[in-house]
Amino acid sequence: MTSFFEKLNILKNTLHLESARKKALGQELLNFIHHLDAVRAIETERHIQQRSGFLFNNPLLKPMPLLAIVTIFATLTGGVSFAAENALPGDILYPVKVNFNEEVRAALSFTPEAKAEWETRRAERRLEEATEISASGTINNKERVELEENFKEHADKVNARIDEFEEKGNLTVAADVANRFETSLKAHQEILARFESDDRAVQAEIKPLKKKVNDELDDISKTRIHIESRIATHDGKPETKTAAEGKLKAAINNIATTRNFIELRKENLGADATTEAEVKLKNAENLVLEGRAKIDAGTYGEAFNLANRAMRMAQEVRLIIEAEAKMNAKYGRKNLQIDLLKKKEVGNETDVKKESDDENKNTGNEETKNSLRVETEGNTEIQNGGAKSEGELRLHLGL
Amino acid sequence: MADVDKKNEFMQAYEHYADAIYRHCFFRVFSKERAEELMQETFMKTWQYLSNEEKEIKNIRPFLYRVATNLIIDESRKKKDISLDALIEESDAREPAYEGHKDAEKRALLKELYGNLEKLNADEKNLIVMRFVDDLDIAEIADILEITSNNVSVKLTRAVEKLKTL
Repeated sequence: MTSFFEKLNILKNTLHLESARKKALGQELLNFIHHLDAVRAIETERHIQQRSGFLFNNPLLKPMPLLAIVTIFATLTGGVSFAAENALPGDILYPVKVNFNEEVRAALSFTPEAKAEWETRRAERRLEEATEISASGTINNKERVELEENFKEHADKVNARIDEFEEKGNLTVAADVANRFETSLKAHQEILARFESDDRAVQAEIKPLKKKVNDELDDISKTRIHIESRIATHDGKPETKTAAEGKLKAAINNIATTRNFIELRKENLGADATTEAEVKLKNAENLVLEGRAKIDAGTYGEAFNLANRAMRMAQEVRLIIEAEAKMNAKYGRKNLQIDLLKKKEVGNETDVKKESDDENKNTGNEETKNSLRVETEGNTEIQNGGAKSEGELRLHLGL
Repeated sequence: MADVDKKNEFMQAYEHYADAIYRHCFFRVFSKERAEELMQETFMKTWQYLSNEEKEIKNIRPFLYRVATNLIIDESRKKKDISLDALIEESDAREPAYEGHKDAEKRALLKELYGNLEKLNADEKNLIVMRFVDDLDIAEIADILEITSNNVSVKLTRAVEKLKTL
């Protein structure tokens, strides 16, 4: 019989941080260090301005409610602004998160690419917050409207950056930003689609949010397709070849990381979700192979676009699974079960097909179409022209 | 320039000790996500201390363990009762690599270890993890906890005896 110490030895020697995760946390640590430097620089400036009497003319200071000012000073003793990072709409530290933490990080983004990345991240953060308060059932009208407005503000900035990159001829950078944003929106569209609730108040708030995300997704998809069509005409350029090769490598890494992530979480995902995710990842791998063939053929623009599609697929899978894991851990599996949908039923199955973007229609590739299939188990009876089902309702995500 | 050197040295310390601090935190809280957060918070608090121009840390390793220990104590004071299954389920949100072990085996081992450690008090748990996970010697543990080596020896012996009977 293995002793406690033998068991401990076995586990301790095999327990370590994944190197990618360690690197990511290290980057966050560096961001924190820069953030703290910025906070101290602002405080030094404030002291100087106070002494000189020009407090209210300082461009670094925006009009803020008293609570935010007090919170900022509390930040200087350490810890508060970091704690604000987990704040949600309605929390007391939420204004610090949005009006201070995020503004400081924006100020620390020096290149146009970094600015675009951070604006995309800010838009994503609003969607993540919306997902979380939807999952917890605490979403209300005021918070939803505020989230929507903030999201729109950041989404507009992302689109403006993409336009700038395109105007300056930085097509691959424009495509990267557009792809990243589109992937995030698509993933959040899927995630928000899960939150069907009996609570009418919650439903009333989730619906306009979904519409906002859908509208933005439509816009960014069109933008991305347009940019990709321009890239396809830059086939012969050496910089396009470099970009395509780099993007293919990144796509391969992304697929491998996502696959590893799913493998480690198989038990919590269920067979269907795992299978569907694997199908999507295999499609992504096929796109990488196609991309390689295009590079060999010298059509670098097409190769770049294919690599981006592969990245989008892998990233989307990861985002959805990550969100599901987080919500499951925080709010319990039963909160993600889908309530009865009032749809027409054929037998015990209801099919709800969603069309994905134009390129998927054109390829005719059935596997790349997104689909949402709802299965009911148990008895189904038809009453008054409608259908009523009992038993568990499962949502299959067509990833 | 001194600031840049300080930052570089600090990030080197991160490279060197992040894994060890993470492991320490994991065997105290049995949650991968929380262990990562505690590890990160340990380094952030250490930097906050270091970034004060007047402060200096001669030996960062025990300092890091001291910060981590204090954070875990704060954590345990706030923590509500939570089942082991819920902990492990939550911890699956971000799974560290378990080389050469299948998930089921690892989970079974973890459950056993958790159950065994729960029979100890907080001080004893801390000592066991420091000695047998972090491989710190008695003198190092005494330095970190700011108690005498004798005190460490006595408590550690008691904890080991308890575990041997399980």
